[in-house]
Amino acid sequence: MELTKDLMGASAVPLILSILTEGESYGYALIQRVRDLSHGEIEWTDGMLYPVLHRLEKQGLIKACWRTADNGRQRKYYSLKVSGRTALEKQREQWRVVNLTLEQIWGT
Amino acid sequence: MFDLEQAIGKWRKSMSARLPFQGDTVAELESHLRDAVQKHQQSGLAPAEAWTAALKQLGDPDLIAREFGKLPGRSIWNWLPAQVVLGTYAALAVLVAFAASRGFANRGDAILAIHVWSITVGYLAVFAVGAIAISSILSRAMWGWTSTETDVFIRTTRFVAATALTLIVMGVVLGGVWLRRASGQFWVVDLREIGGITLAAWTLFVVLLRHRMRDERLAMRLGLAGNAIVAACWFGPAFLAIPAAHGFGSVSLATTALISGFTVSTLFLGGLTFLRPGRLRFR
Repeated sequence: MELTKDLMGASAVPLILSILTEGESYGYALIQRVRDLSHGEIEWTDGMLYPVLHRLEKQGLIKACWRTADNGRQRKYYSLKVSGRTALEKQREQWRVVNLTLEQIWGT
Repeated sequence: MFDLEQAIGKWRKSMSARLPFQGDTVAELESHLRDAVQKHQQSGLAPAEAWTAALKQLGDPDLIAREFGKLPGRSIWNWLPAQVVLGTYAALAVLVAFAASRGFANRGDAILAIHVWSITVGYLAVFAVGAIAISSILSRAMWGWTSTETDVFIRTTRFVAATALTLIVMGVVLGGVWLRRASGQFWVVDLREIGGITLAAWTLFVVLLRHRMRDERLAMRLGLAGNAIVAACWFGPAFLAIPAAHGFGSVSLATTALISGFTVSTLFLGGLTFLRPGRLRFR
């Protein structure tokens, strides 16, 4: 399913932050994780993830670090900072409210 | 015959042109492409097809570059080295203000007090630029470096250098005003005056480098050079003024040790800027 650009933009941040609560990760793996979790329903244009990651880093919610991966290649890993956890809590609450409201209208 | 390395090289060149000064971002996207190609090949695609599929999945390069262009810079105040150095610096500036007002203003010489304050705090700002450079050099060598850090580091360096420039120019002018009142001359050629002008020139150089300072290593080396210049301008005249008879021998053992320690550590730190980021990472 193709999400609209707006919904993609809005959901990318909580998705990234939530996946990073499972531990540090890198761009390609994050995209795979979203694909798996949504059973292939959410398809990101891969390149668009990176500006979002960089914005979160600039905002001080996540931190980035280059490291050599098991396959010997350099990879940039991201991990959640304390402020990122706090931001995620807030986002979670907001999404819960939106979700609850919509479900009431839709009667699901 | 399809050559993946050649294709990646070509892609890297065109992406670097779209994302100038963001080598780190291009490297990250390249790492992504390599992962994607590998995955496609594992699922049975030929190398050339795997490459095409990975590129398509990555999306329109112009669109990606535009999204990166929209990102705001990271705030200086949200960067730990800047917080520590500028916090300490502000505290010292207040302390010097207190000392200067006790020392000179109470004697009714406000101009001299402000002159002493602005020169001292201006010179300290050059050391602050150096401190930020040192912490960045160490952090780059030990924990790696990203283009976000290059950006915030260079903006902090220029901001502090501009502060130093303002204070030093103000100090030199006020010194002249005070001197004119005291002796009728605005300017005397004196080691200290030359030191002030030299430092003003150095800070102006750093501030004006704006468009060329996209490489963090140049700014780091400039910060180290600033430390050496400000130390020479500040302590050099006093050191040289020591009469020859008292010079080498009695005074200088501690001084020599200090100067050698400073030189060696500066050269060492300068050497670190030639390493690739994260080279000294603790494992």
